[in-house]
Amino acid sequence: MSDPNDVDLERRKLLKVVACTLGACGVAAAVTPFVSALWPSKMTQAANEPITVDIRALHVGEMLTVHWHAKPVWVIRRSKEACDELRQLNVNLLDPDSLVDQQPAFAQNPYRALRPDILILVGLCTHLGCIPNFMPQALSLGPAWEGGFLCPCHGSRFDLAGRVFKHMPAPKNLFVPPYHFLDEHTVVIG
Amino acid sequence: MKHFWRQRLPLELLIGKNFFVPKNLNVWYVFGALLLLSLVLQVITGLWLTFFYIPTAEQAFGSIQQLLRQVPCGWILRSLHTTGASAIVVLVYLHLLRGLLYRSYRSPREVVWLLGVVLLWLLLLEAFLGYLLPWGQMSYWGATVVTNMLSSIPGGQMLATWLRGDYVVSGITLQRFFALHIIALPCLLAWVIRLHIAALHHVGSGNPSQLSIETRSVDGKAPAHCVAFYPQQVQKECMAWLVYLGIFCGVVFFVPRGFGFLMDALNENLANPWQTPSDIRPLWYMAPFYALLRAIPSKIAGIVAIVLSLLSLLAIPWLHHLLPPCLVKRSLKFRITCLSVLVACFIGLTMLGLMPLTVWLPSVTLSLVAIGVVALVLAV
Repeated sequence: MSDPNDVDLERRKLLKVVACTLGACGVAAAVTPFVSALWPSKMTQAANEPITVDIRALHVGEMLTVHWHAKPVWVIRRSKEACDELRQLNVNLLDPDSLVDQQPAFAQNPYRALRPDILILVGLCTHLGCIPNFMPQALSLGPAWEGGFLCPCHGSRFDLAGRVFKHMPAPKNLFVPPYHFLDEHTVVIG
Repeated sequence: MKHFWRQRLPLELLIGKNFFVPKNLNVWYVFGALLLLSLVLQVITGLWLTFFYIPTAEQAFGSIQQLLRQVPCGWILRSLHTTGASAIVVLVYLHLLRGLLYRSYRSPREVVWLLGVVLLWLLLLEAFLGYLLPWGQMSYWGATVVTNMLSSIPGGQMLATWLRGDYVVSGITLQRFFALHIIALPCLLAWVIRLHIAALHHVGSGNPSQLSIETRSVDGKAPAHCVAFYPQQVQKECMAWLVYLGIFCGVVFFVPRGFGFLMDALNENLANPWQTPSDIRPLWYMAPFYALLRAIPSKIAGIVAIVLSLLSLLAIPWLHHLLPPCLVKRSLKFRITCLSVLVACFIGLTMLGLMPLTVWLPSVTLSLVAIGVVALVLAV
């Protein structure tokens, strides 16, 4: 055995640096499978296919909820008056012109829809993910209420185009999913 | 025989040497021992629940109903566990209040306090994870709201998806939370509790008169103003255990639902990912945080407020340095008044969190928070 006082400190330092670096690489490599296993599996990802919805039976003022991507999607037929109401500039809305990227480009209009009468939204509050209640009746939530959505969890309010009002916990308008119409009565979501 | 084991097992290392505590410890000093008892009970009843519980979205709810209705004494096991969870939170708050009242966090016991705060966080997390397991409506939407809180930070949406293993809370999330609830968090808790107790034994217990008492023994005999932990303090704690178990069993057998505070009737509806209940209510011990979240009309600010309220407890051992010199000497009476105001504010916030949302609620909530913070700062 060599003399303990006869230690080459430079070599020792190099050994330490190499050991620590390789050790860190090893830990990173070892952690990888543990972290990646927690991502959504292939099966979960596959549940993300477009769905076809028949809206023939949907009357004015009614809402249909369909399931897409494990999320509720609303299909609502709005009345002519409700659509006209949406066109008027409402100063109480946080993002009246839908500038925040919460919709496909085709829905960046006052109706937030491809066709003014048909509204399609992902029915999850942009605050913490609860499902807002559909409150179409005007005045049901006070004198200024023109109909819209109310989140039961933290009280966020949205108008009939899913636009959030100012001073609400929700920071963004409700999300409009990508969709297109096959014909007048059939819409494909996704 | 004794000799044989002593030579081969470090018994003293395992159970620790007998140590000494100040002789004037009053009833406020028993909550640590009560917490230890409650946590052991939770492990035992929890183990028994896992014999019957099935952690899948299809069967979780049903397996608990079966435990309640078909398994002999199943309802007692379940009640012991749900009541135990609430009891632990009550005990933690009383334990924490003792710390504030007698300034247990002051030098040299800062680390004991810090570890205690970490334990509070872990316990709240453990309670939150466990609350998803019955897979009722409140379980489901509570988990949805809390995991979505992450989405307010940059990249948080991805982090939330990673944690849930799905784009929304689902059976995959349930299985994950189950594993964390029964393995990861209990192990972590056990370690931090060990550190908390080791730190306490290292610096010695504080005392109600807030005098510096040397608890370390030089010759193995009790130092001045001290008694041995075993048997003197242990006898007191056994007495406290008996009284506590009496009250606890009273609740379990006569008011197992705790007037809706321990078990919410809404949670007896199967989780429905397509319908948020209109009358949503958090569990009572999450209610103060829920009140805060509802009162602040901004997503990120609401979540920052909750995180700050939990983090700020870490600053308490050093907070008194910030006070102006005229407030350095405060009478015990004055501090008790401040702490009473703090407790009243906290109870008020809990009640507000359980109420349906009204117009005046946010302003009342925020004023209670402001009064509570001032009272806390004046009491440290």
